[in-house]
Amino acid sequence: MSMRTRRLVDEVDEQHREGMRTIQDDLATLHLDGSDPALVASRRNFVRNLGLGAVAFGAVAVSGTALAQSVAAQTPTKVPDLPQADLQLVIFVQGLELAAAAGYQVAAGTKLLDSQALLAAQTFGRHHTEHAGALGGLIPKDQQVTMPNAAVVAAVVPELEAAETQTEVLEVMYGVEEGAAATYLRALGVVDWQVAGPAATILPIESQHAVVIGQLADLPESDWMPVFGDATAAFDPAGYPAG
Amino acid sequence: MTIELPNDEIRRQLRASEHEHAAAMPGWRRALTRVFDPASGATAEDRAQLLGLPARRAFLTGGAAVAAVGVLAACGGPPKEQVAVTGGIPPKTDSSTTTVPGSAEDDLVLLATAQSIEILAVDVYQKALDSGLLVTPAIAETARLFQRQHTEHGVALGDSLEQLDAEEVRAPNEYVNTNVIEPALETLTDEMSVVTLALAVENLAASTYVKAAGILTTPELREAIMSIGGVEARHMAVLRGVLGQVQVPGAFFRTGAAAPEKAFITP
Repeated sequence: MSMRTRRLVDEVDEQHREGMRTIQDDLATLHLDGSDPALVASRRNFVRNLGLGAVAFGAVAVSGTALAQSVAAQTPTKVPDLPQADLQLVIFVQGLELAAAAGYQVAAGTKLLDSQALLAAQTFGRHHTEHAGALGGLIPKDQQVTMPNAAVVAAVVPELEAAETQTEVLEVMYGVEEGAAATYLRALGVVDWQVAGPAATILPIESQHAVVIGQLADLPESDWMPVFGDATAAFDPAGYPAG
Repeated sequence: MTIELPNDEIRRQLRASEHEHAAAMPGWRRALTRVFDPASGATAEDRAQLLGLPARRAFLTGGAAVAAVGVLAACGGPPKEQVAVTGGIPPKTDSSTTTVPGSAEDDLVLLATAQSIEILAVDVYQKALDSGLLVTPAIAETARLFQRQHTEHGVALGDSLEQLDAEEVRAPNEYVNTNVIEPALETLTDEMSVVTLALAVENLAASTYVKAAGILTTPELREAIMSIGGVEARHMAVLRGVLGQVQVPGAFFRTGAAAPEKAFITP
């Protein structure tokens, strides 16, 4: 078998393995998820078409062009009729997710992460981008957020750029993950049921991100394994305007 | 907390998992096609149980989980009407609704079911510790920590039921215990099989709570259930790490492993 053929085979094999890791859950969601089918279809189409390399986040200046095009192309024509307060909160969280993705991009760019931490950063950054895309299914097309929350970026990026060790980088992103998880928990305490369902499928992921980053950063177990989730660390829209 | 596992053992387990997966896929595809054929007569619950099977496959062996065997047996039978199997998975029908999905009665059922699952989890961790199979001190300590947390979760859910003037639950979920846990306990052979069982219980809990969050009628109850559900998800990440699995395999939490309707508790 030629080297090129072997490389192509390896790539296909890896894609297959990646798909098979989540196929049972993907099928369960496709056939059993009781949430809005338009949301499900939009989310899956968005994830399929966005791609890993479609969005490039610079260290400070962030380009949302590719994301904007993808969101515009995939946003369903009909979104739930949410109460205005809920809509504003979802819009805020969409920007927060993009900021988290941008943070991981910067973290990866510090060159301070070992292979395991780098893989986590790349994967979790991708997850946050997918979250932002999925939240787009709740937001009218003309109100979609395509840029990371500027205030969150301003708070996080300088700390990342100033970091001198992997641990310092990871501690910053750990704070982002716990903040994200707390934000979703706080949101669940106020939003309508139409937002609660999607929010509940994302909160556990941010929580799991926090566990992994906390372990990699060698943080005390009591930090990333609380008895109950807590909304204290939530990002407050008033304190983090989109800009 | 860092769990050190020998690389050789991890590779052996990965190879075993690959072989098992390869052997299961043809039968899995046939079952999937049958159960999603509109003529099969399979209920939504049957489909739910089938789609949850692979997540529990590591501890479900022959004769275990009556529900799982029953679903597979039904899938093997002829369709109710003599029509050809369509082959492809039928498109999902539009089931969207603009009305709130739950009710006050559903709230009580969900909270009671959740409390029964927490009690079940405490029980399972105790059996795990009593089995003598958790030989790695860090893993045993993790089991004790998670058991303590589930105890507190159960108390909190009991408080919620009390606030709603409902009676709290005091026993492990009987359906899950009888049909899944007890058969699985008989097949435990080593530390990793115990951790696999624990992971399945955590997945049951987390999936149930995520699903409940979309049904509970008040934001306060949704926040309360997910203040617990998020922690169960954290438990899952830790246990996956112990098993050498990808700790966060997807961007969204799937609810395929949620408790079926037969497991619901009415207070």
